[in-house]
Amino acid sequence: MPENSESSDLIEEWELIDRELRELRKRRADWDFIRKLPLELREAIEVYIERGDLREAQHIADAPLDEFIEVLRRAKVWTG
Amino acid sequence: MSLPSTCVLDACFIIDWSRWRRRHLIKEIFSAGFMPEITLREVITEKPLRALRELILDGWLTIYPHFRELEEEAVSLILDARRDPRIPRIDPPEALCSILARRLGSALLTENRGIIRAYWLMREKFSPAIVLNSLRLLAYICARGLTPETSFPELIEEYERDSNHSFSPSEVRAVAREFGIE
Repeated sequence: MPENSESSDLIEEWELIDRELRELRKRRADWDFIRKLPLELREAIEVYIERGDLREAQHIADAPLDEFIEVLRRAKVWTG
Repeated sequence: MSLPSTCVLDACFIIDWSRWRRRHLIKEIFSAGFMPEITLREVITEKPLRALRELILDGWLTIYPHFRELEEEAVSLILDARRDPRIPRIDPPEALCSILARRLGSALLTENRGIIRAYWLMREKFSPAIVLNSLRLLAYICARGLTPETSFPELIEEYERDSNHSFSPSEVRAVAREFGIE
């Protein structure tokens, strides 16, 4: 584990990155596309937009990783 | 920054990388690549499968068979990561990639933020492997002069356009500083 000050700098940097990516996903999301998806996929994308946790969202979607990333791409919210 | 001569490919990395027009550059950076069988099974769409097939036919990529001893270490990494709320979810395929990269002393290429954050918070669990996302690999490519006609911001723009994958502007700036290519 990094030293405390190094670790807290890292956490601050990650918080900033997470915030930026969340804003990016919200700004770019293609809601016309997302609204037409089946409920599970729509919920999964909303969770991904909010939290950016790929695996968590993929499990909600109950879809293979590769296909789920393709849906994120089409919804214009694939970030990292 | 120097990189190991070999790499381990995670599914979420190759799914994006295979869409980039200059994806072949990976072979100029690493002499060989490995991918665990379980990770390969996550790749099911045409473009990444075609890219993987080409890498296998070139003799560059080796699919690593499943070994139970790797699985036990992977479960231990998953459980350690779940205890830390700062680390997003890690699943067995990317955990196995990490363990394989550690065994081989390779670079692990992944977009999985759980693995990337676990690497920064628990280095001892990964050493001597190093973990890179596509953003850092692009910075390395730029710093090595492999795309002399293209600046780092242009390279990022090209990759984002080809893969429909967006990076955080702050992270792009931080990585550019880290690699001395501001």
